[in-house]
Order: sequence, then structure tokens, then C-alpha cells
Amino acid sequence: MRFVEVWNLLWFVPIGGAILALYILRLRRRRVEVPAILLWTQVVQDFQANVPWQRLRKHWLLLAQLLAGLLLVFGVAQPYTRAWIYSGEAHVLVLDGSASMLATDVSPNRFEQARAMAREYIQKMPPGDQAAIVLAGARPRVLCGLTYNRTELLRTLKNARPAETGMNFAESLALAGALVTPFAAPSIEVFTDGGFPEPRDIDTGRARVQYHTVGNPAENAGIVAVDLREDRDAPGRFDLFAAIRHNSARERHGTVELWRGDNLIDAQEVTLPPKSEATVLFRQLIPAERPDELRVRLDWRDALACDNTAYAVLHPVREVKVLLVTRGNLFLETALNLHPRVVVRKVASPPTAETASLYDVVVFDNVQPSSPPTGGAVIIGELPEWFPVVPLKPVENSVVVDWQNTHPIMRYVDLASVRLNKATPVLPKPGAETLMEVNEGAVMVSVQKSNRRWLLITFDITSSDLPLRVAFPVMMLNALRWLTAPLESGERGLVTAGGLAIIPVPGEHQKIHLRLPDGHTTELSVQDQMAPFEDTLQTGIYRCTETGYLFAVNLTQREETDLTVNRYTSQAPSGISAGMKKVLARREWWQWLAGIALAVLLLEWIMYHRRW
Amino acid sequence: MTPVGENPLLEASFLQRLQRLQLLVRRPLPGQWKGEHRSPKRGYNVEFADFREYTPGDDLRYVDWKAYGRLDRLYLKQYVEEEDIYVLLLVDCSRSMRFGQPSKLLFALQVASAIGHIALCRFHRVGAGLIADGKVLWMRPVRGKQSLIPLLRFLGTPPEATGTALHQSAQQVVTGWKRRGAVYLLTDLMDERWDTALRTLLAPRHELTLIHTLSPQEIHPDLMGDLLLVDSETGETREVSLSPTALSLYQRALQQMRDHASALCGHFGGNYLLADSSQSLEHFILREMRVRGVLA
Repeated sequence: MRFVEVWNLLWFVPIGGAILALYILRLRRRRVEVPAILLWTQVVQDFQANVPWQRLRKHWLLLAQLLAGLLLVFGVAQPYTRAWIYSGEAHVLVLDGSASMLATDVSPNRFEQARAMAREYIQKMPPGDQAAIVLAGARPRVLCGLTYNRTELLRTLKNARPAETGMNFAESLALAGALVTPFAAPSIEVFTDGGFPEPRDIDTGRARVQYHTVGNPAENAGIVAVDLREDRDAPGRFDLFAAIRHNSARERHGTVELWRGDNLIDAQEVTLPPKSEATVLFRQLIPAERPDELRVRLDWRDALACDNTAYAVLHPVREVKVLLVTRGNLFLETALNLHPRVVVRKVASPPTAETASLYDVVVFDNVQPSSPPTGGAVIIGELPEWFPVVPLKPVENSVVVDWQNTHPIMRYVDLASVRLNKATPVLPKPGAETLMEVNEGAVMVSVQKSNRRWLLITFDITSSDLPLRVAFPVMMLNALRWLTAPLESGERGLVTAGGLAIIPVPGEHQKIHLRLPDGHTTELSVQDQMAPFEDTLQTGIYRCTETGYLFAVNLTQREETDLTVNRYTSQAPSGISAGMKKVLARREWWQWLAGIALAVLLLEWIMYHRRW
Repeated sequence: MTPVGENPLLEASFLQRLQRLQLLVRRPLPGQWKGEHRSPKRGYNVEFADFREYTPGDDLRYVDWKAYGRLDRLYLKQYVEEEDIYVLLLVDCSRSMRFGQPSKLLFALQVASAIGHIALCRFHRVGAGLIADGKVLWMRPVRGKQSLIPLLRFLGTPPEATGTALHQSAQQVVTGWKRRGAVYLLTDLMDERWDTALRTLLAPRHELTLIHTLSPQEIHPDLMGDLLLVDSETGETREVSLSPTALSLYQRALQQMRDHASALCGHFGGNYLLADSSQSLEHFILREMRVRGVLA
């Protein structure tokens, strides 16, 4: 026998103690004067309160009360056994906990209505049926596994909280389906506003999917994208970009405000045509010495509040120290020096590990690194043995045939028809990503290993026409940016709600504390100078207490801002096998214990009045 | 508890109605003067009682000469003697008697006054004793209607007492009251040795009428739950948890006490009456006591 809430057994200590104390202590009796106690003496012999401890001897009432208390405590601990049983219906209640469920088009909001519907569904479930609750969101979570216990289900439902995140409905539905795989004819009940694309081809096994739709179509406008980029015309200054989506059939005017900390620093009038999207740009924001909180706010009220504000963090600009190990490469030096924030120091021989650790990036131009670099590194024209690639046969006069244009290094880069005089193609091992290819294999590979990032160019760039292309300085600047940022999100400090935030933690911290937008603090473990945090369920600014690092979490989900209510029809799976199936399920015994406890109490009551 | 002194024991109209009644005393009791009760003595009344042989010195007027003619022996005709009787009113004045609404003591004193008035009207000698703390406060026997006022005055001022000690009081009664007579004992019997006291009183062959005076709170106690009972006389306490079952046990104990007292009185030729102090005095005197053969 196991217990759901084993710690509740400890309640027997105070309860049993209280029962004993009540027996030990004398009752406070009402004082009544009678003419004489002559006749009462014959009656009261059995009822006299004697010396305290004597009452405990052979006292059936006390034993009965202690037994009843013990049974009740066992019941509260919810003992259960696992047994093969013929299952009744199994239900999975999928509760939409995404941001759109916070819309107030219905009172008090869509989530509360969905909660009420789910509660009613649980209360009307036939006896013998079991149910589970899944909270759907950016990452679906099983709030309560399959159980017959209605009280536990209702309690779990009461404690469910929506998040200011998007919705991954396919994953939620798949998770719900997996919960009821062993059952013959389960059902998945989705309580949602339908604010997601129509689900198709989601394998839910034999489960029938039933939608319970809440909410009404409501007008809403919100910020669906926000980004902070360095101004191309003014290095060291940043532009804040925000996209605003409007789902109403009417035109809307309003003001978009930019707040820096507690100060309103800019505002722009916007006019949003019906069902349109507009962008605003706040230009040339100058970073301070410390990270600054930026807030873009729409000055109107609508059904959904959490998408009316977007957050960003303006990090201070710092110099990028680059150590160039080369015997001379004009193209490379020029490209690296193009950016005013990059400080390049040139040496001819490979640096020691201690020297290399002083620089953000070490560029090895036709020089073999003595050991794997501990930070960012670019290795050109050499193939270290420890690099996760397999060298292939060198080739001559090859042409670049493909490049990974979605990679940050390859952003705005066009490598079409770049010719390589000599190159050694390689085959990337797991962990390495191909960025540039010739017919025979990869010639540019990136590796990201915890907080270390390396870029390998397998050919001598001076024996190609790459340095002559516009793409070369752009690619090198992208490379420097990628190599110096531990992670993309960490650099810009922008995370989509529900997404993973990687917090860089320089120094020797083993644990850090993260202050959430609502003021609560959570503790995170640090590994390889990084602390992953995935519970980005609130929009706003998150602050690391130890390092002062800030990052912003924004909803920026078009599906959530668009408060359209989609009423999807139920889906019945094909080939349902009818009938009962034997499944291994949890059988709870608390009802029996509660019944026995009541019987014992009844017996105790009878004993009390019969004076046994 | 109602102060006894503030209540007139008997009203004038009720006293007039009592004059028609008389005490029913079954056994012949010796008296002192002529009265209305048949005496064990032989006298010279109109009602024939017996014959006895003539002895010198007897009054020749009562010789049955017809018998002498037939039997040639002198026989004397004897007639029933009617004398007064000694009536003793004993009232328990312990603190337990002051309980009830109205007070048991008031009721007992009223009953005693009524019996005394009836006895005085029939020219009996009436004495009274107020029992308290094992002692007896006596009033010497009086006779005649004119003695009603002193009797009422005596009964109207009961002593302040705590305990009963009924058996000790009974001993004092037996030693202090030598005349056989009709004894009316009004008490709640709330004494551990009440049966000893009754045997002591019954031993001199008094005709004892026990009027067991109880309040309705004692006959049907309205108590329930966890209580601390305090004895009004001794201050002794008992912790009890009363339930319907416990109350039924109490009723059984009370009934056993009544049965025992009644049997004891009956065995010695006495009477037993239960008096509920909440009932009206008229009802008790004019109906209950007549039905139970104490008054006629």
C-alpha cells in the first residue's frame, strides 16, 4: 500500500495528542446544587471523573476515538494500491492556459469560465470513471494524473493558473492522448477559446476529442513583435522595433509610448487600419553603463492586457577584444577592424591559454591552436585534431554550392559562386553544424559547446575570392557577434514567453537567484557558467540578483493577440474498439477508511449513551 | 428557595374547610382526657366492648345482673372508652428541605399546620418537633382550637439548619416523647440512615405516617450532560455525565427508596405518602390524604 500524501500521517500526532489531552484533563462541568447527592451516588459510580490517568485504563471510548482518528488520518493520507481493474471511461481534461484565456471579454475571464466548465464536467462524471488534467500552454503540463478521486481533481483544477504564454496545442493533445493510451474508449475534453490553428493529424490514439469553447470574439490590439538592434548608421546606438497587430474591423488610433525605467522618453501616434499590422521604430537609443529596462506601451485598454506592453533590455555597449594570430592577412585585419567596438591585437605565434582567456575571440589564421580554446575562436586554414570533423580529400578549384543562411553568421550574406582555390572539405561530426559547402563537403563549420563557440574555415581565405566579396566583412562581423554572445537570447535579452532563457553567469556562482516580474524570487543552478530557466510564464523583466543581468520576456504571439474564438468540432478516432479493458490503475481506499471511521464514531456514540 | 417566614402557613378560608375533617388513626391509642378517639382503655360509654369478672371495689352499676341470674356469677359490662390522642408533628428543617419551587419545607410546614389544626379541632393533644442538625426543637403538647395560634407561630419559625442527621433526631424523639400517639413525619428522607430513623420511630408502636416530601426537581430531575453535583447540606461534590440512561437509573433508585420506606411503614402499621411540593396544599390535604386513609 502506498500513500498519495504520506506526510499527512503526521496529523495523527496532534489529533491523538488532543484526544488524550481531553481525556486527561478534567472536563469543565456545570456546577449544579442539588438537595442531596444520596440518590445520585448510586447512579454516578460509573460516571465519576476519577484521577486523570485512571480514566485511560480500559477506556473503550478513548480507544474508539483514537481508532477513529487513526482511520481518518490514514484516509487523509490517501492510501492506494495498484491493481488490474476493468476500467470505466477515462477522461483527460485539457485546460487551455495560454495568454488569450486571460481575455476579459467574458466575466471574469475566459480561463475562469473554462475552469467552471471543467469543474462541472468533473462533478457530472459517472462513478467509476477516472480523469486527468493537463494544462495546455507553451509547454503542456500534467497537473493531475489519472485518478478516481474527484476531490483531488477539483483541488488541482482550483489551483491551476494560466500563463502569459503562447499555446502548443499539438503537443498538449499528444500528451493527453498518451495518458489514456491503455484505455479502450477514452475521451479528451478540451476547454479552450480555440485560439490556435485547426488541429490536424494529431495522434490521440483511441481518444475522442471534444471541444468546450469559451469566450466571444473580442476586439484587441497588441504588440506581436519586438526587437532591439544596433543602428546601422550610428554604431553604439540601438533601434527598438515593435510590431502592433489589430484584429478589429474598425480603424483605431492611439499612442505608442516608450518608457526607459520610470521615464517616458518617446511616443508615437499610430493609426491601425482594420485587421492590420503596423510597426513603430524608436531610433538611436544610447545604452548607459548599466542595463536599462525599456517598455513599449500601448495607451489603450482592450480585452487582453498582457500584450499591450512589451519589454526589452538595453545592455551597455562594451568593446570586443580580438586576438588575431596571423603571419599577415590584410583582408582579415581590415574586416575585423571595420567595427568601431572591436579592438584587434595581432600576434604571430599561438598564445598561451592564459593569454587567450583575456580575449573575447581568438582568430587563428593559418596557425594551429596549441589546445582547444576556452572561449570563442575562429580557426582558418587549419584542421585541429580535436575539432569534431572528419577531414576529407583536399580539393582544388571548387565552388561554394550552399550555405546555411538561417544561421546568425550567415545573416545578410550571399556566397553564390565563391571560388576556392584550395580547400579541405570535412564531414561534420555530431555537435558541428555546416555553414558553407562545396560539392565534396563542408568548408565552414560552427561548433557550440556549452559556453564555447568555435568557427572553422577549412580553407585559406587568401586563396579564394571570398575576401573580395561584400559578404566577407558582413560574415566576419556576424561571426564576432555570434562568438561573443553566449547565446542569441542572452545577447539581446529578449525571450518569448514560455521559451527557454539561458542566463550567462560569469564567475564561480553555483546558484543564482532570479527575481520574477511579480516580485517572487526563484533559485537556479549554474552549469558551465550558464543557468537555464524555462518557466518564463510571465511577461516582464527578469533580474539575476547576483550578477544584475536582465532579460525581457514578451508574449509576442499573433495567435494569442488575435482573440478570435474558433469553435472546433469534435474528433472521433477511427476504429474504436468498444468494450472494457483491463488496465493497471490506482485504487484508492480513503472512502472505505472514512466509512469505517464513521462506523467507529457511531459505535462510540452508542457506547457513550449506553454506558458500556 | 422561598423564605418560609414570609408566607402565611394557612389561610382562614382553608382553616374552616379543615374543621370538617378528622384524623384516621387505626390503632387504639391511650389518651389523657375524654376525647373522640377510641382508647384501649375500657370506659363507660354507650358502646359495649366486653365482659370481665367482678372484683371488689368495682362500680355495682355496671354489673350485668341478667348474667348473674343465669350463671350465678358476677360479671361487669365494659364499654368502649373514647379519649383524646397525642399527635406529634415532626418536620425536617434541614437545608435540603428548602429546595424546590415552592420550597419543600414550606409545603411540609403547611401540611403539618393543617394536620395540627384538624387534631386541635378534634380536641387531641398536639405536640410538634422541628428536626435540624440531629436535634429536635420541641413544642409542648397543646389542646383546643385556641392553641392553633401558638402552633402556627411555632411552625412558622423553623430554625436555620444545614444537615439532617435524621436518625439522631429520631433517637431524641423517642426519648423525649414518651406517649404513644400518632406521629406525622414530614421529611425528604435525604439522610443516609433514613431507614434506621424510621425503625427507631416505629419501635414505640407509634402510628407513624410518613409524608415523604419531594420537589418536582427531585422526582423528575431536569438535568443532562456533564455536571458537578453539589450536596446542599454537606457541600460534597460528584462529577457526573448524565444521559437518559443515567436519569432512568436515578428514577429506579428513587422508586426503590419509596418502596422500601412504604414497606417499612406498612410493616409497623404506619402510612406512607409521597408529597409533591409543587401540588396545591388543598389538593393534597382534601384529596390525597383522604384517599390514602390518613384523614377522613
